[in-house]
Amino acid sequence: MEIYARHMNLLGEENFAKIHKASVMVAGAGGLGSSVLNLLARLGIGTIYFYEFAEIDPPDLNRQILYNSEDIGNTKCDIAIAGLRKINPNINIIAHCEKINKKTKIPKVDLVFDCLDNFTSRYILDDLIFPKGIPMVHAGVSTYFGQLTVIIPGKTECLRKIISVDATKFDEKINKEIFPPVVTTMASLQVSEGVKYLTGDFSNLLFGKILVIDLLSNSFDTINIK
Amino acid sequence: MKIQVKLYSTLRLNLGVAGLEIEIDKPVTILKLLKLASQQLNSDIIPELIEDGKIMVGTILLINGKNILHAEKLETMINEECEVSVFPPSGGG
Repeated sequence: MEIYARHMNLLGEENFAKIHKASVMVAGAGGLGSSVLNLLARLGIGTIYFYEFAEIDPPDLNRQILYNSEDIGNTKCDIAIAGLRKINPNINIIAHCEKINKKTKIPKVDLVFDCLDNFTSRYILDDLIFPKGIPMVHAGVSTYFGQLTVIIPGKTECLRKIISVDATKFDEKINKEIFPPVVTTMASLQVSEGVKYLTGDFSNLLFGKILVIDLLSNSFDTINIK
Repeated sequence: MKIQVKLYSTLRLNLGVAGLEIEIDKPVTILKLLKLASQQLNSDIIPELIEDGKIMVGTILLINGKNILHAEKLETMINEECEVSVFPPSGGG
């Protein structure tokens, strides 16, 4: 428990116990996903499932903090699980080396982190978990910008309704250029909101609104949504 | 009626403005409001938002937080003081 000494008392014993018992799923272990996974492991989230199918390419290394140059060509899944187990061997980490599709069986989890890199896959994930009542912390990033919102069945609409785009056309146009600090900032915010959800801090939780950040002009704006 | 138009991320960057206030004296469609915004900004924002008469893929238009795609799209009427948010979501991860 010593590895949690810097945040266990800060969160409070009761809240720490909640996150330590929690089970979460991380969809994607790329830019957002590798930072989210890193933080979740260090926080001591009890059980972490993650889904990732890709191999590590050189352009990934500017922001995907679980991977190093010696890992190029390996699967993210294998490298991520080995790294996460080194970070924290005391939690359950389950890797699914597969692409999320319409037939994916979603594990029994308290919360999902959307760390995917396209809206086609995001909507598939949304369709799989929203009807089951599983909440999701969504984030998306591009260049200097990012957005985040928490989807809670029964309290908010699903992602498809909140951020409605023609996924196929949108995904063709996604600008892959990315300022690495945007990714780690958004991933940190995702984990922060995830902890709020898991500890029941709904008064501070980002739901019913979208946070839009712009690191170029240092603006953090919140848009209320219906 | 005073309408607050707020622009985010790439739109703010490309247009060099975070938002503006438009005064209207009668209800207008969101399309007309965007044309009024262009006049006021002295810069045509329509090509940034609309393509072939439709909202451009990758642009989200909200009136008081409600997506116009779930209303009457570009013909959605603005008939009271409100906030219009124009938001291009980021898709990467």
